[in-house]
Amino acid sequence: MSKNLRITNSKFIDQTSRISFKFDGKTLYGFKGDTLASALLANDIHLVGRSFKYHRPRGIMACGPEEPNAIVQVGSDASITEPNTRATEIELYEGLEASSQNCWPSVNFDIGAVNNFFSPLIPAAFYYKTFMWPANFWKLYEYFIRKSAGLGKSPTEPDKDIYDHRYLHCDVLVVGGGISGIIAAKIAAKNNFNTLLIDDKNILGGTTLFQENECFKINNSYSNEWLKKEIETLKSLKNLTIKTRTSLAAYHSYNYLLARENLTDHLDINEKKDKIRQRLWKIRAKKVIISTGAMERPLIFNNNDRPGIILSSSIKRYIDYYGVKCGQRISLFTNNDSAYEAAISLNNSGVIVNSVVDIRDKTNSLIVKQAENLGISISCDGVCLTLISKTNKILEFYLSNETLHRSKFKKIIKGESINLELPLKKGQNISGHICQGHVDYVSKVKKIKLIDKSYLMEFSANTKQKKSLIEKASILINGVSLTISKITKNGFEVWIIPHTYKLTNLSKLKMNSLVNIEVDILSKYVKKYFNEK
Amino acid sequence: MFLINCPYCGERDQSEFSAGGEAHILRPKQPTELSDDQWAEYLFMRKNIKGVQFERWNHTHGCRKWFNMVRDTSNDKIHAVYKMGEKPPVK
Repeated sequence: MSKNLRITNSKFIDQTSRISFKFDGKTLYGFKGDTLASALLANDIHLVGRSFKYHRPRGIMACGPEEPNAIVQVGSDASITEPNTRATEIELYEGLEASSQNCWPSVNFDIGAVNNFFSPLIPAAFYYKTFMWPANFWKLYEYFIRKSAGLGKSPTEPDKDIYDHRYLHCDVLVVGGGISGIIAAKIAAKNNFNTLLIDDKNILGGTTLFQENECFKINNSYSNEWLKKEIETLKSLKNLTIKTRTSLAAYHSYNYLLARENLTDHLDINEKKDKIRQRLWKIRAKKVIISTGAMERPLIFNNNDRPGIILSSSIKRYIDYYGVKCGQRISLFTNNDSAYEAAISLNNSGVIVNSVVDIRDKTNSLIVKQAENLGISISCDGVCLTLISKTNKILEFYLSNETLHRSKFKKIIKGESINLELPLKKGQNISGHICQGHVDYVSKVKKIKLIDKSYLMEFSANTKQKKSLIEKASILINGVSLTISKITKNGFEVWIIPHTYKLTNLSKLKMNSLVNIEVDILSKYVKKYFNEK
Repeated sequence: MFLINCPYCGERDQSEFSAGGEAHILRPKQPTELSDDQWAEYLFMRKNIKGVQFERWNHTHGCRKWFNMVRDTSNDKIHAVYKMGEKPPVK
């Protein structure tokens, strides 16, 4: 069953007016202000289409015109159906019908996906070279090839909608209604220039609309508050024309530009009738200011095109603007500060941020420090936990049921000491062994013996647990990497050198104390491999 | 899409104009005295320069008058516009 991933604190979504729409024949609900993409995400739908050649699963990856994956077919009528539209650009309206493309019989079970398994056999130009012979077989091939070509389905009847085009002349054209566009338009209009400001979204403001953070203050107020006042002053300017839902399509020589204004695409099906759907503006401007801002570039890693992998700036927009959580537990991978903004927004909305993985060595920016104080993942007593808050001398962690069930934290006593270790950072020496921080089981102390300043300790392990233990192999006890010296009848023995004894809470262990055990990750894989054979 | 300053009407969109090829080609005074090659040279051979070029244009959907234009074909910059019969501007 799909979950509801909507939070209720968005100022931009009208949660009092519910909108029903259909996706792949299933009736779903969203709210006024949603895009198709945000409404789908709120219904926990990530898989929305299939890729062109290998039919790989495709999900929502971004939140605007930059969307490469969430390409859907809109409308079921043979005259109004529109292929290859971005789910992130379709404003939700009552009666919207959309469906996945390039999949049969359904997006979840797609027969064409077998192509992915045969991909080594389908090199570039496979179709051209393979279906050339025998020549008279083309008639046979053509039917199937034509069927598989293209993503969406073209309309088969003439378009009934009304379209319009107009000329427009201005002194200054400002493209993009974000913070820079608003300031540019304001200055131009105040200097008696006939100014036109266009933006592709339904309201002005860009990403600053939901930028409510200590680190990004303008004139001592949050940047979204400050921007709201600026937008108010724009409305009183005489020389300024503002066009929203208008996207620039072409920029020709001598400042001749084409823009498309969406007039009724966002209205309910009944309200669309007999109205102009879209208008093409042919703009001749004396000066053009492009203030479109920047789009986030995806990081390159294997399978980064799979559903569920979303740009961090888009995650921020979905949570702060649409009030939609992109998931229940989110990990962020980044090479810049913007992922921390997303992490903070998620954290503030109650989404668990598993970890922020930053490929940089070190950063000193304020936003990173702020995120660190809220939600960085820290290895704690061998259990990888997420830090929720850090106040003076107190660290607060979130423990799930699974964590409690597997580890000794179920029986922890107030005031008991634990071992803390920060995550491994790139560029440091790797000492000890690779510890994941995922506890496997809990053991009891069976024997403590002091021999020549070092301690010999025996821990319990049953026959099943002993299978993944090898003499001279590494093991983690309460997050401390140790070496198994001997496997005994009822468990195993380790030596603890005085230095380790002094620094960790192993010194506090008594007979029958509970400890967290994590076995070597390699042994688990080997065991699984042989079990399956 | 150019913005062309018609010497009679002012600035208009390129869609109102039509191009008329190379300007300042003089008709031979005695065509009968020309060889076939010379006649073909006059009739068909045109320069196609990458750089500054002298052209004739007609304001077809406006005043319907002919005029001359100096245009750089490499960057489409219009350097000058002048009426028929006027002397071309010196660079």
